[in-house]
Amino acid sequence: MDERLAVLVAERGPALVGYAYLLCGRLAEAEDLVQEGLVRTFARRRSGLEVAALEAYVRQAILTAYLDAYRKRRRWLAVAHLARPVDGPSVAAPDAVAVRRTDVRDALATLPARERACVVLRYLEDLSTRDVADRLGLSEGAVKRYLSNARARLGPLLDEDGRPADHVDVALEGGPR
Amino acid sequence: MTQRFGLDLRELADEAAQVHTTGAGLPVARIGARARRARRRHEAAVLAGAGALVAAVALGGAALLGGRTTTPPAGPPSDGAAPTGSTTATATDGAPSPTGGPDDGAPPVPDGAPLGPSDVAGLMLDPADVSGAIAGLGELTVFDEAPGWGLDPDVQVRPSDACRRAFTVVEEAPAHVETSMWTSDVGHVTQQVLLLDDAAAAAAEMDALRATLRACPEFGASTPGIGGASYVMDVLGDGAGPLPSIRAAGTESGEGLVNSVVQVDVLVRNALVRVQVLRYGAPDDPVPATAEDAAALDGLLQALLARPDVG
Repeated sequence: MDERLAVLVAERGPALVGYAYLLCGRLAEAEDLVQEGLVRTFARRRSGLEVAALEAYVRQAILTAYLDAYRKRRRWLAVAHLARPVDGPSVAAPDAVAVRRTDVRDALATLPARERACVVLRYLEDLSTRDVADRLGLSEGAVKRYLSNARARLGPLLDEDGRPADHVDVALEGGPR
Repeated sequence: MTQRFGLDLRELADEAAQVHTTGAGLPVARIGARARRARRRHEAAVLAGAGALVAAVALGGAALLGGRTTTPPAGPPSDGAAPTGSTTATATDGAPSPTGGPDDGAPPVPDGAPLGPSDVAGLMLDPADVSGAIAGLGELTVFDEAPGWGLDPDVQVRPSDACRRAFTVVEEAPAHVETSMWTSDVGHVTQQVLLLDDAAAAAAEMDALRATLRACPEFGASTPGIGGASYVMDVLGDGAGPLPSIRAAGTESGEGLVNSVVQVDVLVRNALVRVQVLRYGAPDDPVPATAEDAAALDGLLQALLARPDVG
């Protein structure tokens, strides 16, 4: 187990942190989520699985841990001890592309947890709404509603051609994974 | 959504990954150790469950061989209340049913005697009753990280520190305090029992709390540079039950959420008991808290706390 864990972390650790970062928006929390995802994955015997297959389990575990943690965070809102970190990646972003990334990051931060998870699965992982529903344990109708709500919040970030956002909700063959 | 947006997400993830690689990285050894411990716990639980099943089958088989019909040992509850991976508080956790007398077998506390730490369990609500009384709360399960009493020293209270008691109920740390918390996917319930030195001290604190809540219809708390929450609470007046109580309902705002809050404070002997029910909402989809909710919550507490052996 240790060898496969080490290989997975070495080869896919940063990508997993990036994935978790899209979900939670804070680097330290993203690293914690990845740790939790790895623990949950390797707490079960996964004999014979290659790194790619293990990574899929870890991504699902990260998603579950994120939603679990979000529920707990909301539970603390009534408690004045709530500490809300405001850190983000400390990479300097002076150019136009980086400014757009900042806009995307800020826009993601406005989304409730489930909408955010739907957006990441749909548009980063390029899953169909049915597959997103399966991953999150939701109905396809609920996923469509969450995505619709997210589109309303993300607004101009989503439509570079001026067309209504729902005209471009098509899974692209060979598009970004 | 556009292909460009997908690329933006990719670039954002890559940026975070790049920053991550400049740090200490993931602690592989510690992760491995945690995973091994988790695996041992999981496999031990599986073995325990398999052992119980084998024992049940063996007993059933022995009964058949003996020509008798014997009821096997009781297994997991089959009434639909079986835990599903979470700890579910039930009426058997020591909290008496509010519709009847105490059922925990503990001797009744003499009238007038101050309540002590050993009495607190009997003052805690059954979360199933709260779910039944407050619509839209769902099934509540125990949350193991219930908060303690008071505010962190760094926390700033708005509009002034005169509203601090709206959070803390009493001004200084009580002789004894216990907090229970139950959560669902759509909200949570917090109950705090604060024991004061005597009934007179508790009554004085109750009066001060009432005055504070009326003087602070809008208040908030935050840690500078971090965040916090804001509250708008209507004090609905004192309850009509045998025990003095204060009912309030309103909203809590923060982190992009607007949650509904129903709150009741009850005075019983030397104890102040606060129960707060919070249901999650969004700015464009708030969940209103009603006077009926506050009355229902007060009714539960009155039935529980005004038992002859308590209030």
